[in-house]
Amino acid sequence: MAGLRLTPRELRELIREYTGREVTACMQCGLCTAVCPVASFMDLHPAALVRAVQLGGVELPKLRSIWICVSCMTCVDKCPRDVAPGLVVETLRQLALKNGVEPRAYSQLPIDETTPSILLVTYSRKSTG
Amino acid sequence: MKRDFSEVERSSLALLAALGYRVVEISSWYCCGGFPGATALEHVKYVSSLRTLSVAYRQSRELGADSVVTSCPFCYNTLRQAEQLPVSRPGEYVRVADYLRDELEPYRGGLRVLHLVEVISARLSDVAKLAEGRLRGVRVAAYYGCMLLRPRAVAVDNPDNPQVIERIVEALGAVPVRYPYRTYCCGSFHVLAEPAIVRGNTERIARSIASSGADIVVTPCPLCLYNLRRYTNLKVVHLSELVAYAANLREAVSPETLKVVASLRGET
Repeated sequence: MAGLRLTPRELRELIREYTGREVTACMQCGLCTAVCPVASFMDLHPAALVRAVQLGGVELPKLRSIWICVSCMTCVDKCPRDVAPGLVVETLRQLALKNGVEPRAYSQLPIDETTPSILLVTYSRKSTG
Repeated sequence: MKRDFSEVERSSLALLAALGYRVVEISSWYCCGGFPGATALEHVKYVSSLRTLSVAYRQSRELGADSVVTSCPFCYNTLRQAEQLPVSRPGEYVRVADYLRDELEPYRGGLRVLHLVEVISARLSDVAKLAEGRLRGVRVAAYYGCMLLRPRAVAVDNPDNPQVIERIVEALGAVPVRYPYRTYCCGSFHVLAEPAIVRGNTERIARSIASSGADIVVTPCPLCLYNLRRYTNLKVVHLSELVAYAANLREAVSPETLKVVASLRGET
């Protein structure tokens, strides 16, 4: 598994390998950001994140966007260039998790016996590699 | 669903029985994990869904069944994507199937994975007969959420302008109202760690619904239901409960939903 320091080329190749998508195809139309229901809570909104991946790479341990994406798949369906930013985010999230980046400790979560298990399952699914 | 939303299970089963279906629970099913593996880094996330489908397929041959139906949008989405895996991503399917080979006969296709709304919407005239116009005049806003509509390959209806729940509402004799944020994500699991996201999104959805003049909101998703009830003062009920109520299957409807619907009938 590649580490957390990746060149743009390495990152592009990993994304191609894991998702079959080509980040260089992005033309920065911004549709993904426009349709994203959580873009305003991200540090790099979806289009900016794809741009960062194209040009300079990203610092995975500091990137907040990968923990904010809820995988609603709206951008994946709407992208006119089939870049699918939601899958790019998913790849970055998995790379971060597999390299030991932790989104948040479970002990900090406000969980009690009334918390529905569907919530724990979906949260855990996004916080584990 | 079984633990926290038993009223959804109860009303769904009562409804399917009233429509003449014989429903048998899969003998051993496994939690789907909520989201399917979106990338090849995570094909391991398909193990539980393919395991469930293998067991379901074996059982379906004994029973003469042809479909797997679920009332949970997350399970639907995950099982449907797993069902398509041999065709959509054959390389990953082979790796997961190889892993499962020692414990189960691999799932090779042959089952239809359906969500409850697909079953109901295929039987609209029968639903209308059961409903006898019990909800006549009630204005119902359908809130879809994400998992029944996206990604496009598993959508139960056109993800850009879905109509399936509105048609069910019409069959109940009620009036569907349409509003812009019908398919906008409620914020999902962020209610645990980033509640500001869910508060912001549900308030946006609630304003959109309020401007439509709806009396009640109906959603097929238990997580959307939980979030909307937690952060808004909308009257929200689960789709299966509303349909079961309309079909006069009151013993299968929870007291909370009965109260909400009774308050509407008083108003209209």
